[in-house]
Amino acid sequence: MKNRANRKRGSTRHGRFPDPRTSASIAHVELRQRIRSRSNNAWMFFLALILAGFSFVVFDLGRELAPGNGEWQSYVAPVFVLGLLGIIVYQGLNGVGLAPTNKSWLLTVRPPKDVMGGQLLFRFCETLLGALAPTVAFFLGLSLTIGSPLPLLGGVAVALLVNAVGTVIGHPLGLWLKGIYKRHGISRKVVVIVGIPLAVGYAAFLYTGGIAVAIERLQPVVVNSPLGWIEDLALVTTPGSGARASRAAALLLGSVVFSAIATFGAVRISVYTWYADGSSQDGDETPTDDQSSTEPLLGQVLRVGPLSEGTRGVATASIRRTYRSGHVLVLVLGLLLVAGVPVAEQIITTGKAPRYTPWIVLFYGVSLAGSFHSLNILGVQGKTLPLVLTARVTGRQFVNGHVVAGTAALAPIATVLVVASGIAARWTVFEIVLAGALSPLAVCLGAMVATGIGTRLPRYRSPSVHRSSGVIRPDKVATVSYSVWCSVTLFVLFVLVDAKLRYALASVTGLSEALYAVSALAGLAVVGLSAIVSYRSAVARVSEYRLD
Amino acid sequence: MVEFAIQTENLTKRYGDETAVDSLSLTVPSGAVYGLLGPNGAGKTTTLRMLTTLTEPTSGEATVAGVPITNCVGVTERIGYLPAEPPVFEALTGREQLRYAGRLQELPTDVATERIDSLLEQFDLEADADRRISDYSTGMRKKVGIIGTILHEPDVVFLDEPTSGLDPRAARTVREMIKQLTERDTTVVLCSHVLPVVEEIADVVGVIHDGELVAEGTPTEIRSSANSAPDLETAFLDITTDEDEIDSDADTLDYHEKPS
Repeated sequence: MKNRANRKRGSTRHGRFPDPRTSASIAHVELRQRIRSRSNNAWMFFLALILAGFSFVVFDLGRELAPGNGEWQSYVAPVFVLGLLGIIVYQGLNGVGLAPTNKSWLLTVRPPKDVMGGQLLFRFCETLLGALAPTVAFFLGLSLTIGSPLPLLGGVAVALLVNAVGTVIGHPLGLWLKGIYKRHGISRKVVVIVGIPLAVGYAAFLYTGGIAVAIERLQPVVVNSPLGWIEDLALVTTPGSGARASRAAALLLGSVVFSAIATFGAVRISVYTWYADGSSQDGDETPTDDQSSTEPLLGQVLRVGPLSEGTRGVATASIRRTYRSGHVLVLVLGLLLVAGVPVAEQIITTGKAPRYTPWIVLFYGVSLAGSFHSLNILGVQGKTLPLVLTARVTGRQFVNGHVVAGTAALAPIATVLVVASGIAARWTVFEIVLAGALSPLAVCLGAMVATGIGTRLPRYRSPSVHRSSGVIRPDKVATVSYSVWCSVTLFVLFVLVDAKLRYALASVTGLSEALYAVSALAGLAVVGLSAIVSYRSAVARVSEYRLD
Repeated sequence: MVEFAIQTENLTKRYGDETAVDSLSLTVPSGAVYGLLGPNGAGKTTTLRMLTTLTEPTSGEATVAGVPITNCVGVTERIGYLPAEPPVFEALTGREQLRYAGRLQELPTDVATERIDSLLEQFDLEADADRRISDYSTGMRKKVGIIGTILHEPDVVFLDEPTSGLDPRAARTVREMIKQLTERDTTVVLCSHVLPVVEEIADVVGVIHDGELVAEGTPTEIRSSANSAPDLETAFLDITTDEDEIDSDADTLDYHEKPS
């Protein structure tokens, strides 16, 4: 083989620890890619706003406190430990869901240790601002209170330490779980079914004041363990805080050693996961029985009635894609759990479902009928859009196909659930029959309206069909518009069906119940008209659609 | 200098019950262009993945540039690999992407800059080098990928469909580039479905079918072995037609012939 003079063969590739320079290069390019990615701008701006608001609050808090007061100081360590747990969870999710860009190519250029080193560094940078900003804000407030910049040093040291330790624990942990998933062929649906309750639990924890409770409970445990030394490190540069420098130094040294060992472990885990074979040579899931059991049923349903071949084809493809998409499953189960928890809670407490339950169910069904695919019938085609535009299928058949898909898949389920929940909420027979009869209509109207809104308010004027980009998500304005339509429609139906609501409205406003009933009927006509207009608009848009 | 750039012996890869590559034994002389052919799903990509250390074989042995493929670091510093989908960062410019590739290959900055400029010129990409890759066409991305693959002058280059998506001029540049590489003793393993290209530049052709190496030799030998086929494409179709497919074709023929 040739002897190439300019190749420093083996100079940094060997060894077990990531090469810092190469890792920095990999992290630098990943960061640059992230910062330049235009699609992240809105999200980054939103996060920056939240971070700025939160930092302002903790800055104020820092200004109000004085060192030497043991009461607040004893909460410093638990707060940082909670932050550490948050970073571990976030980085763990990153480890499960995200891989280095161009991973396969990178692994033929650099050994896994350097690729993993780059990943850890990139992930560290990704959460750095989130860890630093509130910490700096708090200690800046404290510094201003006591008139010395020294407290900032301790705060910054702890923020860096927490971020580093959280990253080297969380990311490899997530990657390891992913490795287990890949190596043992665990179904994606099992992961979703396990993951959703965890995610809902996490959200419930955040929104029900769980953080304050957790800090209270953590406080005695943390303070009496070496984790309590975080307080010493954070306040070691704050005059009059009583923090012990020896503990601060021990924590700093221990964290450096721990991070080094964890990085070494992360490299081992990266080899375990990145070199795991999928269930087949291309990593595609092989068809399973559960896919074949539902689809023929829907296929047979679609064969009933005077549907054209084009409409049936579009509808079948839409249902198949939705059914096989993990994201949709997340949406379906996630929303169901969020809506289901308060209802279940009331059933357990009072023995009956809340009166509004059927409306929640129907709102859920109509929302899904739109978000199924109907709200994004062009964007959801991705790179296959030219196939649709050049096929014999007409614009009307294309729109019909999506309306049929949404209705066929959701109307029966929504109707059954509305009737069942009406019984559970002890509605009258008349109300149950009326709501049951209106449910499939509402779902169908929802799908019709969504097609119009989605085609007139696309995320991009024309999706790119040349690149490897996949499906384009619906536009936010379209999503909000459709949600508003759903809310208005459901309110109209609610007033029309529910005599108690009409009575309550009449009592408050002084108008007659009959007027509300007539208004609701008129509203229903407007809703129907809006669906027809929206549907026709979608047909026209698709028929005349051209790529940019 | 090793005699064979690539040697495999009973190289096998199984995914569960499915055998992707079955007891593959082949040798690629140093400095040769080896055309690895096969129908879709025949096992070409899996073979490339094993030879580039991306996938561990289930059994068997192989060396690349004299280094066993179990030695991941030893192999990767001697190879260049271009997957079918070029590995590029959308948000970087072409030049930034190539500088990054040079840094990962530990090329000194001046050497990398000189080579990048030269290759950009060779591939007619100089004028667009400072535009973001997200604005590039498929062919331009492929060119960036190819330059990144050969930038560090590896001993063995694996090219998966290097000419797909390229216009005729760029495709010719790639063919000439491959010839230049072999003049410098670089070994090229070429996976392609563009059989005239393979016939033109490959010294040796191996045909994989259902995970097995079913034919190997020079393009002329391959044609001769396939009933003196007029070209490599005809020979390939002849070699990779399954017996049951032949039976099926015969049955169909019989059926149509019966009325007469």
